[in-house]
Amino acid sequence: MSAAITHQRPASEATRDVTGRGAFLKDALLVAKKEVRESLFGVRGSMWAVVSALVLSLMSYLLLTDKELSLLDQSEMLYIVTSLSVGLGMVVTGILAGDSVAGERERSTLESILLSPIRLGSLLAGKVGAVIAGWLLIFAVSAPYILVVGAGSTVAFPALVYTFVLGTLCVGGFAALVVGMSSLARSGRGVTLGALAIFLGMAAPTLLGTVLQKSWFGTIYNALSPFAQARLSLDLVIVDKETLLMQLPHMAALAGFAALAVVFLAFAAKRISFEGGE
Amino acid sequence: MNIPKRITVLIAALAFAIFSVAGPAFAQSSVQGSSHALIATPGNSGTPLKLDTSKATLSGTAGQYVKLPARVTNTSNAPVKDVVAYVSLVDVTRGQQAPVDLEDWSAHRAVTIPALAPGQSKDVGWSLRLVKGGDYVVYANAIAGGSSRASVGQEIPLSVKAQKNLNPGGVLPVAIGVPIVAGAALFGPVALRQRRLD
Repeated sequence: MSAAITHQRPASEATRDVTGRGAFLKDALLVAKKEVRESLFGVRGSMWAVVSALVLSLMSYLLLTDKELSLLDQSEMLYIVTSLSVGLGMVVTGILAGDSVAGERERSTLESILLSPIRLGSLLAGKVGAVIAGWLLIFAVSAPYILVVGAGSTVAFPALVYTFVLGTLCVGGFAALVVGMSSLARSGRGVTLGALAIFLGMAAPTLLGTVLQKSWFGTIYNALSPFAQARLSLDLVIVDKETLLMQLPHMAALAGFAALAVVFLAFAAKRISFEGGE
Repeated sequence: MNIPKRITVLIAALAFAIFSVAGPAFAQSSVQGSSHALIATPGNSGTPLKLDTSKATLSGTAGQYVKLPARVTNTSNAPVKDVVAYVSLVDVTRGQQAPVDLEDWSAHRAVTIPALAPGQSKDVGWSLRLVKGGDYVVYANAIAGGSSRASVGQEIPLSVKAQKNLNPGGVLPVAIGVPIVAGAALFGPVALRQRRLD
């Protein structure tokens, strides 16, 4: 069998089709558990959580103490910390997801994984799950900062909840997208760089001035960027104290992004090969 | 070149050098002086509005809020519409003289009064969050709809005492503790596993 031949489903899989969704989830959970254990017990996975904690420490301490007291309102500080938490989650997700399949291919371990009695969908879902677990770790690290920066205000707890919900939708979609890219690519490093470039593209609207953000260009850019959607929603909740109703369009946009990313992942799963694409 | 000509050229060069160094500073101070003169005189002439403030001075510590109450009165015989009242704040601390962005002081919002009958007064007010130590001058302004001249209230000196707070809201234990706990919780098992393997 040549290395370029696409993945063939093992014969045993045909019999397991009848077991349906339960088996799919069970296998995905098995893969995710293995991946999380490898990631957390290795320096590579743990390091990102500590680096994120250091970044959040520096940012929250500077925000609260610089120039006697901050020049920003407490709600603005809270908004910055929550946005930073989601941003860090996306960066870490991009790095971990970039290596997930293409890294296996580079280390020549993909062939044995593909020949194991685990269906491809479960394998990729497990990989995505493991990457999302990385985000959950970043969120757990961020939680004390969000609570301490928001201490005394009425929005500290809602900020925590919305960061979790919006961050999980945004990071989950991004994880599925990058794992899909990783399935098609040959080099894990290339996918990681591509993922970081996509993240920078998504975060670019934040560099636009207030006036430009309200122009047609800024409006379209914000509408297309999932990270901008998450930030706009956090802004509405934390700074403008808006209700859940106002967040629904942003949440729907993020859910749409996540759904499209899953469709792309399913497409990439069908084209996965031992050698990878370009 | 003879000696008188050389002296003339030297004096001209010196004068040019002195002017080029001191000129901009002189020009700046004259501009500051003239703007100060404008602020010092509450401007009600030509406007139907009058602004009164009950406070003569304001003071506080960074982090506190101070209230600036003001009363807008229509002194004309005709009603005025769409009055906008707002605050101006100038940092007069030596070496830091500059207008202050009121958004940082949470007092950037204007108060709007839909209409004021002749002789009618309306109380307005702002809550300023003191964010930086120093000496300031704060004053209220009001402008009627369609008018090109604003009414300026009296200058109120504002003194803000700086406050050094190393642990606002208990951030210090979190900022130091979380990276240490995260590092220990995540690297600890890695180190233990490594030791077992060795």
